[in-house]
Amino acid sequence: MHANSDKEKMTHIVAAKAAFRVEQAGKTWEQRVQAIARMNAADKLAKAAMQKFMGGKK
Amino acid sequence: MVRQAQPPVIVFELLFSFTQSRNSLAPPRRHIVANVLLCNSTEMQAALRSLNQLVADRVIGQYAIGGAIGASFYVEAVQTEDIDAFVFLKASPSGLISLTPIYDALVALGGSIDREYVRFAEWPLQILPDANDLIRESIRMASEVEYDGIPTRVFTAAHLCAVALQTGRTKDFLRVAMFMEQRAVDLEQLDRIVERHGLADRLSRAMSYIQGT
Repeated sequence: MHANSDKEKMTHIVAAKAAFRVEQAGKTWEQRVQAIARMNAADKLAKAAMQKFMGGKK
Repeated sequence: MVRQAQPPVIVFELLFSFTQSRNSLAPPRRHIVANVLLCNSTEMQAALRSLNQLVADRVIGQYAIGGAIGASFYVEAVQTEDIDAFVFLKASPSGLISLTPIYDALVALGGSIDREYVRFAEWPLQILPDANDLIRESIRMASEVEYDGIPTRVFTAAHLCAVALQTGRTKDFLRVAMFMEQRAVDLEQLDRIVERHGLADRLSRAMSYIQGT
């Protein structure tokens, strides 16, 4: 995935979220819970990276 | 191109690539994606097994899963940090209600205390008491289901919506809107519960969210 501008990146994020909604419609409970677990793990990593990023600007 | 297999990962892969362009200290993207993909549901099974054991050992009368994890049985997944387990509590001889015996039993079954939660690896389990008539009814009328072969109980869609209306935060109204949008709730059943528990004004507010979107 090569997105150059922030606008392109946002477009891809919106597309990924839309794809996620479509994908979720046919999922089992187990698959949905696993998706939540992945979101949580990703969120944790994103927060850690953001903290590092903010720290790096000092 | 956007890959279809793991959309949540893609979102965060993008976020990290954005971060990396500004901060060379960010870990390599491949490593991050691998970490995200390691998540699985075995901890969820452990939490559910433990709740079943609490019922078998008569530490609690009964339980049912509500909140976002319960909702994900019926509608698309939304992010949540914990498993909400609503339980019938047993009053002590003095009449006081204490969560301590439940927490102690869950720790003995492999959980660890983390603030108000009992954590099973990545999944924090929150024990919520049968605080009012609606919660008691929701636990009593919960559906018997299975999660990966583990028998468990989940609030009905109508009770999940009613409890969300009663809780009344913006995200709760949005959850009700989601159930309606996805036609995942029996509206006649919801109406009866709403009437029984005096939640008609809350339902009107949730409907305004739907009309506004």
